[in-house]
Amino acid sequence: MAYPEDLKRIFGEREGGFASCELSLYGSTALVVAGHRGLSFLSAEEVVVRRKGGNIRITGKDLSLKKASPFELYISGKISCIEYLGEVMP
Amino acid sequence: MKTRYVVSCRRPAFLCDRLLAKGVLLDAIDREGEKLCFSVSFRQSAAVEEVLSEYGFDYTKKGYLGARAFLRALLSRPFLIISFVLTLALVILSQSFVYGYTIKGNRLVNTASVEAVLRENGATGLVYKRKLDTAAIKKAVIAIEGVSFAGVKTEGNRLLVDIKEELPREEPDEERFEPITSLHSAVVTRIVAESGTPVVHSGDRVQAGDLLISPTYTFTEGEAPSPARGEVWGVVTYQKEVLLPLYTVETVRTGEVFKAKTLSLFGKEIGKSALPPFDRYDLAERVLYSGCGVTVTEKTYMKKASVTLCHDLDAEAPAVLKRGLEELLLDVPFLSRERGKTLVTQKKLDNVLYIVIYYSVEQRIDPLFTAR
Repeated sequence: MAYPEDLKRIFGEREGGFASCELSLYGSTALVVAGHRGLSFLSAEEVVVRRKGGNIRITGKDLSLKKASPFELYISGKISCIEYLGEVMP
Repeated sequence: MKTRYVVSCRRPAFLCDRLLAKGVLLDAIDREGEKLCFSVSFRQSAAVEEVLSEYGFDYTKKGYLGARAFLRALLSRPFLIISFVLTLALVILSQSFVYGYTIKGNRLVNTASVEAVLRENGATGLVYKRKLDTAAIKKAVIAIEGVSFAGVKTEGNRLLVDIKEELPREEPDEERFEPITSLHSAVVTRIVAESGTPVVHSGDRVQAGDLLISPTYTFTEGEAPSPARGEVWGVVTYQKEVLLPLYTVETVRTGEVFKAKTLSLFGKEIGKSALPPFDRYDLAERVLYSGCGVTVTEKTYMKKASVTLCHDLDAEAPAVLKRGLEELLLDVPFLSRERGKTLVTQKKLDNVLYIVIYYSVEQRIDPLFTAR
């Protein structure tokens, strides 16, 4: 399925494209981050994931990394906030 | 198979990041206080340990790496063990038996005769390897006519019979030459043997078919085959007998003639044809007119009658002799006629003159087409 192409058709051209980093949120307890560039911070309250052009901060309670591969991260816990940060954190 | 690591680290994000950068897939990630626990596949454990050693992390390995864990994992799969044991048993069992045979190398020796030997030695069907007497089979196969050597061995589950056949008998590379034999009964006058050994000499009398030059070359240690070639000349005598009786009965024309004309239209005779007026006659036909499909023919019947002639033997003898000689010369080779000598004997009996003509000529008596 040409999902990025469908998105491009619906939303039009976007800077940086659609396939750079995808977040799949299942309710508020499970999150899959695909197309990440690494992990910057990991604690029970906060997880910071690097992405192309910035970071993604996930905050909540009892957060834990269940599985990690070079392409996807599986995060579980009570997610309360997902925030996009423009700058790359050290 | 997974390997579980328990790593003491205060910055789990850094460790995870380094491992992900190495391409490691982390599974079952968990935190126990300041320890990070995760599982990786057995193949990636080397990369994990490399990272852990590089950054100086304390870690412990758990999982299925030890012998006990391996045994536990193995015993947890009974069907796998059973199938493995069964396979092993089948392999060992199958190696102990021979099933089927391959016969190769025979081109002239009949395969059925080799198969019969195998059947006699019980090498057909499923045979226990130790019961198979390859030496006896080999001996029996070699005993087959045309087999020079045979190799009998087992290859896997098959009995291999490799046959080396006897070389075909080579015909002696010896040329066969035809001898020169006489075509006529003659007295040999000259013999020139270009090749071969002459067996007759000048003055010898030979009959037709006698050997003149043998196809051998004789030397001190024996003789060797050699083409017989040469010329053999001899005096050949041709003979002709002529009889001239005193009285002969001959049919002669009396001079009496009868002529008749017939008319034919398009080849068909019109009217009754005239009956021959004589019992014995000579017939002569002459076409008088032919045109527009009409043909007029004149038939002339000349009467013949038998008369008894009385010959003058002395007067007619030269003519009879000449005629007999002419007939005799037909048998004589053309080129030899001029050199011939004629001998004539005459004998006058009661009513018959008996003449015998002998014509002797020197000619080649060897068959010309084989002599050269």
